[in-house]
Amino acid sequence: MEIINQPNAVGKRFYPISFKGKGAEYFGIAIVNLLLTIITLGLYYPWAKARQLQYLYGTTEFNDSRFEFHGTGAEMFKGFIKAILIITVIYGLTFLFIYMRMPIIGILVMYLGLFAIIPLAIHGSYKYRMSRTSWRGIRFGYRGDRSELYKIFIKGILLTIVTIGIYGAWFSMNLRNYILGKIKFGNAQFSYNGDGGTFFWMNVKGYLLTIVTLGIYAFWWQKDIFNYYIDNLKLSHDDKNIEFKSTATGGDFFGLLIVNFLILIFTLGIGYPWIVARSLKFIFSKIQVTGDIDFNNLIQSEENYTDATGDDMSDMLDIGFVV
Amino acid sequence: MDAVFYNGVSARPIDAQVSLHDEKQQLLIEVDGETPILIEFSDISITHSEKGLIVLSFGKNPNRVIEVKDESFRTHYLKVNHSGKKGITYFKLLNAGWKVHVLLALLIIGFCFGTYFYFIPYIVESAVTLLPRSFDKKVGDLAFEQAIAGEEIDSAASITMNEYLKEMMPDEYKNYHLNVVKSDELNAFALPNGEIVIYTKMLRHIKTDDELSGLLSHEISHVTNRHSMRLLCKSLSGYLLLSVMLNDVNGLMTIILDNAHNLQQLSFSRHYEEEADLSGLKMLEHYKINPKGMIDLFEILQKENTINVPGFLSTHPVTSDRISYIKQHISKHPYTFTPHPELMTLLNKAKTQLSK
Repeated sequence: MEIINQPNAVGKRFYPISFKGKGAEYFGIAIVNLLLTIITLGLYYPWAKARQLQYLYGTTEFNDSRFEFHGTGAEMFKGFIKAILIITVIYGLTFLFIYMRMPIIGILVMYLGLFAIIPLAIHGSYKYRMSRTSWRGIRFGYRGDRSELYKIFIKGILLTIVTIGIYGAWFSMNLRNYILGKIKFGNAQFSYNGDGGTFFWMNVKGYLLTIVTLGIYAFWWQKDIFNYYIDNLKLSHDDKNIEFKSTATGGDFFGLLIVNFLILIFTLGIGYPWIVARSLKFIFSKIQVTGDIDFNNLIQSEENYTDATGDDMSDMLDIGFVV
Repeated sequence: MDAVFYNGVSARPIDAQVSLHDEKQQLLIEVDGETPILIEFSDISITHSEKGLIVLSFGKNPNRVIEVKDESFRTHYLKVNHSGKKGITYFKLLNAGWKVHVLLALLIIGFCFGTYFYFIPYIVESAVTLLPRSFDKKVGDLAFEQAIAGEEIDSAASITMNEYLKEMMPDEYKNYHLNVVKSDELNAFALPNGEIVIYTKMLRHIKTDDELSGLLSHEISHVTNRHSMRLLCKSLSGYLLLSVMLNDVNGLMTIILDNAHNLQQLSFSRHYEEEADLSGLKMLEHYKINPKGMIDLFEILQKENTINVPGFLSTHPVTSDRISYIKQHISKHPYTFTPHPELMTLLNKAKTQLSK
């Protein structure tokens, strides 16, 4: 570690990144949380989520320091209540219209309502999560613009519908480029450089080969997507950069997902925390970080943001955190 | 104690010394060349804690972080820190060890099973009250079609039996219809639409009109208590739960109709049987029919039970327990009953029509 941590001849260095959590520990947290959530009829859920995130962040180490999650149950509870209210209003209107024998308007209200809140949820979620995440006391931040996100979203959905799904690849890359490009790590800036065309053909190839190989290629397809997500990510600080590279192979994914599946089946789902822990361990062990940024020069630049409504909405709508 | 301090302005690690003031509940952070920081435990949050490492943070803006890589410091801090009592139950549970966690997991699984197999069926069963009575007829019609498909109906005996029904219960006979089906099975059953099926073998075994009235009152009670409907709902509870929660009566009906043909394969629970016996007895009282017929009927069936297990008994188990609670009920609710010679005549007529 000492040796690889030193800058090499060209001034580039490796930054170790790893997940140090253990399935058994995470299992304990998950079980206690589940128990308290059941006893309180679900009200404990935001606190449970905060504890879980705190553990997962606290056991992820970058360049010898742990990440810190500062979100609290109370913040998330407020967000939780607001998110429930918003979603209840949408469903309430839907049922009202159906009750008034206007089912088509009702369904329309529901779909439009849900579509309208997805960008809102993504925006709020990134803003909250990033602001509550820090490393060596330096906060992350999301500086995206809500109306920009709406534009990308509306354009993306319309074109995806018109092209019967083909535009989906470009839509997905546009979202990723935009969102990740608005993430700050102190005064350092993330960027993502995905290309819709490359992503599209990668998925076409993956889809076809998966059919031809009766599903076996799915693991290699998964690897391609994962690597594409990692390899195009970059962090810049002044004129210095660090780059991310995935070393995962299709065989790695095969091993990971098959064992995950077996754990899930043979433990009747109780082994889920182990799956989370070993997947995170896998993901971080396959990411190589190299570059010339000196993190000692990183400076606090992002504001606190404590409104968790968007994060809770994403949770309820089951939108994955990284789009 | 050596520690690494981050001042919340820059990510540059700063070597620091930390010490705990147990009584005052304070943490002292000393950095060379700077004023020492004294901070209350209650203002510190534990960002992460694991064997050999504790990360503490305090302050909103700047948010400062202190990292101590020492196990004795960590355990000492966790022990002397009296703030954050809110989380105490949580940490007690969390540190209770894997045995407790596995136990909790088993408890939760048990709870889920209990919910799925007992609580949900109970809720869904009560959903029957949401369904209109007219729906019972639809389900019954479907089930009846299925039940008599390929069976031969003795129409002459059936006509006589319907006259019997009219004579026996003049107030309610219109809602029911009797069918005598040729079969070597000792069975009788009623469907939610009021169709009652009696197999010829059953009719042959019945000796008196009181026994037959007892049988009919029992079967009709299954219908009035909507037992088949409740049973169907219960057996489909997984699917039905959602419709009940959404109060979606139409969805509920569709699922039940799709499964109406399963009706005959379901057997009633002892609870339903007892309910049917007791409401049957009330019906007999209303029409002033001798309730002893029901006991006689069950005793005949019980005898038959020792030889082979025919249909009626597998779905309507006759236990001595059952006979005794009927006896008990009769002795507690005595009433005067009248003989019904016209019923006996009709029973005999039906039986002679059978032997032809």
